[in-house]
Amino acid sequence: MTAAEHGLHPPQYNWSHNGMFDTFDHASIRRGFQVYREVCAACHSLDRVAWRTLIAVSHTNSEVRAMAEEFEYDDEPDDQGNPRKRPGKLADYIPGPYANEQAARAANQGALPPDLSLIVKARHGACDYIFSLLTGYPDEAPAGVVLPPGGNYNPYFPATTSQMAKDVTTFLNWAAEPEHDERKRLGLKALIIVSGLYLVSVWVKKFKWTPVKHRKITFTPPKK
Amino acid sequence: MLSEDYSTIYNLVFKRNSVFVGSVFATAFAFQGFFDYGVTSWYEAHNKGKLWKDVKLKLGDAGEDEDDDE
Amino acid sequence: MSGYIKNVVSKTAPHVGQINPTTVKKWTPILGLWGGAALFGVFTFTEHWPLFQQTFFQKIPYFGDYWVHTLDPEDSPQ
Repeated sequence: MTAAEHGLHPPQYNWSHNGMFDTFDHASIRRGFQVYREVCAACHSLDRVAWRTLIAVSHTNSEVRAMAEEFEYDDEPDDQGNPRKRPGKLADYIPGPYANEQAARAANQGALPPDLSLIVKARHGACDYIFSLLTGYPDEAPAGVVLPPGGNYNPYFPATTSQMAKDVTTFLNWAAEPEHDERKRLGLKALIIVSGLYLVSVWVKKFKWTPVKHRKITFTPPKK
Repeated sequence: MLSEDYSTIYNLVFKRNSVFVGSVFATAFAFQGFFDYGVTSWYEAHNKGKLWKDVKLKLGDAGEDEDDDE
Repeated sequence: MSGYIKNVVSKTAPHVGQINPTTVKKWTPILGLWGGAALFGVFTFTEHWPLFQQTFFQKIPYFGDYWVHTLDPEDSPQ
């Protein structure tokens, strides 16, 4: 495949979570969620992320409750069997912008804006790819983006396109790999233990082999 | 402790298999606790500023009002 | 040659199979030590289990606080 066919390779950026022992920048996850909410959620769903998973990652319990309650979800029918709605709760999943795939395609010239829950894991280049895609549009801002009117997040002033792209990419990486921080912590423990045991086994092997390694074999020719 | 005879250690820990196995588990229990505490402390120090607990502290300063514009 | 006993006079101790007071006296402390070893074994494998953390580990003097997990209600997923 030519570069034009499978797209340009994105450059490798210094993500703060790139290293073997580096966690996500949770402040970036927080800002990134806001970018998703204000920009991307108009077309892209995030079906696999439940509101409660944001708690203690990027938002407090009260903040997430407030955000969830802004949305309506289908409730059990009332006593007469009529359908009704209720405000969102922590156990619910983040709602998507369209009721179904057909509505999504109709609103986007037949193309289906993909769900973003796992997008970072689902594309070659992961974070680098997503970031480059978002900042690669030839216009000043990614298509369809409306920068928040005068509002800026803490403490980055002003919120540049590249900053927003970085934050939303970090947020999407968290959505795709919520176990990331704990995985690296456990990985560190595993590496230390396994390396330690390996070194011990090297010593034990040498110890057990000393008689073999230091034996002397002699040949005494028979006397004529 | 370092001045103790090897035979004291032997008699106290290694002679009876029940005591030996028991001390292996007791050491494992203590080691697990200390190891996890140590690694987690290092990990959190290495990632200082990025963790949720650090971000949460800063929330109070900047104000959370921006979150609710929908 | 009068009054000497020809045969050994023996009594059988109370027993159930091989288990008699002598063997019990011998093995009880050893089994006790094994019970202690088994207990430590259970502790090693249940270290992350909240039931055991609350009943046993938190009560360890000086180090017990390591197992006390307080969660800020703002971080609670409920």
